Amino acid sequence: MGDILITSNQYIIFTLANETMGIPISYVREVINLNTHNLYRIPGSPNYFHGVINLRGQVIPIIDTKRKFNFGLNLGSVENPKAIIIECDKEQFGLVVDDVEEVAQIEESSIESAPGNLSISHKDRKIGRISGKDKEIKDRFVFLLSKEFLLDNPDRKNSLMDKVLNEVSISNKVREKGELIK
Amino acid sequence: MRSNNNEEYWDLFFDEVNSHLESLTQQMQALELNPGNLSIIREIFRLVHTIKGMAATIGFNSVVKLCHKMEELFDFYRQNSQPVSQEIINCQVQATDGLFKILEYILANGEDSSVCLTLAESMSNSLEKELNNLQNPQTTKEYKNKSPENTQSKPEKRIQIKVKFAQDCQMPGVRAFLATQVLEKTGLLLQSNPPKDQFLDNNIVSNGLTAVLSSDKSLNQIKEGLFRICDVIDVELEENFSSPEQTPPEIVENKIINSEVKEIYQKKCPDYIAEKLTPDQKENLIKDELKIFYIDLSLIEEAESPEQQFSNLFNNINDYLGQILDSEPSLSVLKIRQNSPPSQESAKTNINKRINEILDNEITEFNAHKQRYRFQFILVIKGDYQNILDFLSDACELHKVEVKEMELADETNNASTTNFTQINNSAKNQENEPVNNITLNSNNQPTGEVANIVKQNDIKTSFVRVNLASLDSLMNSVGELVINHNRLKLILDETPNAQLRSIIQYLNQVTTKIQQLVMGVRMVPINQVFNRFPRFIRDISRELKKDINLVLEGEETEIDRLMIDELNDILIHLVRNAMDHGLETMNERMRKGKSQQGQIKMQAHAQGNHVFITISDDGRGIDPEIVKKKALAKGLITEEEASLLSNKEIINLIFSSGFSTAETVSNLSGRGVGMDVVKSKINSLGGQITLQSVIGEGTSLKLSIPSTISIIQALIINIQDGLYTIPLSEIREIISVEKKKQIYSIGNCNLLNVAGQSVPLINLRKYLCTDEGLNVNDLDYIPDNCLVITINSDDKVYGLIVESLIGQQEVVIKPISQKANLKGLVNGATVFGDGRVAMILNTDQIVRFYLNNEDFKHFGDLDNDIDDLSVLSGI
Repeated sequence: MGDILITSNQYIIFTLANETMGIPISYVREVINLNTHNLYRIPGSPNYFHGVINLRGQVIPIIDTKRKFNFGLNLGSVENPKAIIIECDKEQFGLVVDDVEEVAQIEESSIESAPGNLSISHKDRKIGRISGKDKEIKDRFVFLLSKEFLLDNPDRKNSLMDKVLNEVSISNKVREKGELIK
Repeated sequence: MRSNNNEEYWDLFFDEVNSHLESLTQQMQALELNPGNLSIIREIFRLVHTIKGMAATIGFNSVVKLCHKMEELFDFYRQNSQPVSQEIINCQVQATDGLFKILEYILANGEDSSVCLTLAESMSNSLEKELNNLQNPQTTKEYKNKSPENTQSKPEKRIQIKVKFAQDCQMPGVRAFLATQVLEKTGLLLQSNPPKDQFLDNNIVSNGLTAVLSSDKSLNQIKEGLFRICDVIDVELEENFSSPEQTPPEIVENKIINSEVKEIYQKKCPDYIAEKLTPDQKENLIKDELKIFYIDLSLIEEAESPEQQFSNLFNNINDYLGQILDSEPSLSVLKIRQNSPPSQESAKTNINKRINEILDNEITEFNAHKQRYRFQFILVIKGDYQNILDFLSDACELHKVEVKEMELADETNNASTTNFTQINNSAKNQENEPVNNITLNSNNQPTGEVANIVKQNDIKTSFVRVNLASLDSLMNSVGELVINHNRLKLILDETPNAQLRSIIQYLNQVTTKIQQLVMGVRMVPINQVFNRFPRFIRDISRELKKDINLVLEGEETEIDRLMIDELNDILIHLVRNAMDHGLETMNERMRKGKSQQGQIKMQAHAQGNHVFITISDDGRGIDPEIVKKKALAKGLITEEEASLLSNKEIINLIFSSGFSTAETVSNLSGRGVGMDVVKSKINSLGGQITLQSVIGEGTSLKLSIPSTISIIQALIINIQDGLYTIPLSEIREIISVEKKKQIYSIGNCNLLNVAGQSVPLINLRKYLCTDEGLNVNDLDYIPDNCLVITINSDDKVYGLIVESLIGQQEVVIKPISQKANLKGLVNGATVFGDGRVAMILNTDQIVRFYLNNEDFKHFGDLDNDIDDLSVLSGI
């Protein structure tokens, strides 16, 4: 599985509270329209879990990505939120996103470590670069975060889990950083 | 290198070997009860052989080695149809354990290392000793028959003795002295090393004692005598039949095997042999990883049915050593001759010309009779000539063997020196086990042929092994099928259509059938767990020095495969407790007028969706007074509370965490991991455990466990427009309650009077809907008219307040990610036909939160939660 990841550098690019982010396509099972699904709360779940949905008979937990990323709750919600259904470690869960933009190719060579002062704090920060949607728009930068960032509290060490999860990163944060390229 | 190639088969291998080992343990058990049963011996032989073959395929030499020895021992019994002695069974049981250990080690470390090989060697050495003990008396008999005058004149035989003392032996000198005394009683002590006068120097003696004894006593008698001395851990005995003159044992040994290594010229490998090689093999030959050897061996002339031995040898070599490219006589000839031993004439004509060409034939003068005991072959193997020698000397009664390395014909090579070895057993020593001193250096190379053989065997069985994970996902898919089928049915209700109806009806039948089938596949008889216990009890009862009889009932009861693994640990714990704490010692039982033999009963039966397992003993029972004292001492209850508790409640205190009644902590039970862990484990499986005990009569533990963990009967309830389900098995009763009349409040606690008993009420709304009003007094949140579902948790009754009931239904449990279900308040979720999702509540966990969490304010706050949870559940 790791091998496939390295060879296919395709990422799903989505927006979330003014940020643009990406996820390796190999983890993405599908993208659904969240409005058409009922959410059911899980009693006693961490607060960044929205609840579960019934996706064709499967029960899938949905992660409130904004809350998980501590993206300020004052940003409000969009009209038509989407959920990206992720499948990794034989577990499935959905990430709530504002919108899904495109599938982009991010080469290994254009991925680098992120500066330390960015809003998402994580030891494994990585950024990648993708070209703009239109020719007028400048290239954009992407953050690559490890999978554990989504599912586990980064401050907690669960040794073996960490090691496994660290090997792959699934979330990228994209930010307009066009001026840096010039 | 080899193991890497085979890694993909490891899972399969371990899976299969484990099941073989399990049946092996069972058969051993059966053999112990019935040591003369030939069919059991045959079955064990077959099992060991299978394991050996499988291990050889995958390249686990230590396993092969140990199995080989086990097999040899059973082969002896198989051919002699003697009852197997208890000693041998013990030895074999240990060897089986050794196999388990080796496999565990390999699995943990990912390779077959020297540690395993050492273990295998030590095990197989002790087996070898047993085998020699078995065979030696026989050899003696033969010897006596052949030369009666010899035996009469010299009834005494010379025995070489090696005694080993335990490493931590306190006074080896004294032990050695005792040992020599024992020896002097049994016969004439000819020699001892170190000599008697040096016994006081403990350092010298601690290495062990070797002695030469002349005695007419049997080896076993001597051995027994020596083992009576404490700290003696190992005794090796070897008989010599040499003349009674005092010769130092070293020289005797040298006479037994007079091996010399000569140098000869390398022989060219003939073309027809080279043609038989695969390109791969040729390449490896050039790389020097493979070698071709010419081997010429002959057996001692007294050997029985040389043809049989040779064909066995042929197969064994092909299985474990390498590939035989050509042989004289060939395997088919051997087989024919086996049936009708050749006359001298016909044997003569069979001298093979090809081989003579190769050999420049110095051996044609062998007469036909000798030819019968002769076997020549060309072998391609990975190892060295030493491997061949070791293998051969282990495999048959060698008289003489010649091993020559050959080189590939097309390869230009200087005629350099190479190895030529000859073992020449001097004729007068033939009656001994001629090759005792050569130990097998297991470097056996599996070949592709072995793999083929194993595969062929597999085809014969009509079972398919399925990965449990794929079975689970199959189950999951079936659940989805059921749900979608229900959706279709709903659509049909809305828009009636005759054609659609008939299709859905048929679909319904198929779905139900598939569901039943999949459920059935997952169900396995509980004897998969129970079968491990006879052996377990046998071992432990010896350790405890208690005579224990195990009664198993209802082994055919079926239970979900997933439950089996979970149950095993629990049952082992409970049975251990029963054996260690429950049953009295034999003396105590005698004094009480009970039969000496204690009894432990394991019963299982199914009822509805549950399986009931009872573990009972006829031991001393649990004394409430002792439990009370202990609980007070540990601060689990106060004096005041203790006086209020009934005996039954006191006994149930053993389920409290941190409770262990045994005064002394033994290595069997009472390690602090107590009954509380057992209880919470059973609860997490959706089961219950109850305890009954009568002082002096025994204790009985009853487990009730859902027979499957994927589909349950559940009550659907409604709380604030949300649907939830509670497993029906947990519900006692449902009561309709009018708040003002029946609920009273004490402190922060609401109570309901049910038949004179005060039942604490848990407002589910508070625990399931966290988004509002957590600080408001509970009572205000209870609707004026509500329903209370009473449940049992920890043997106490609690009431759950719900708003309304929807109904009762069979639901498919869908697991929910641990990460989303951090507090474990739910056991999973289920999906209804209309697509709605409902959580399946874990009432035990809710009660636990209720008890510990009265004023838990920040229920939805993750960061505090995990720590709190771990405190609560005592993790």
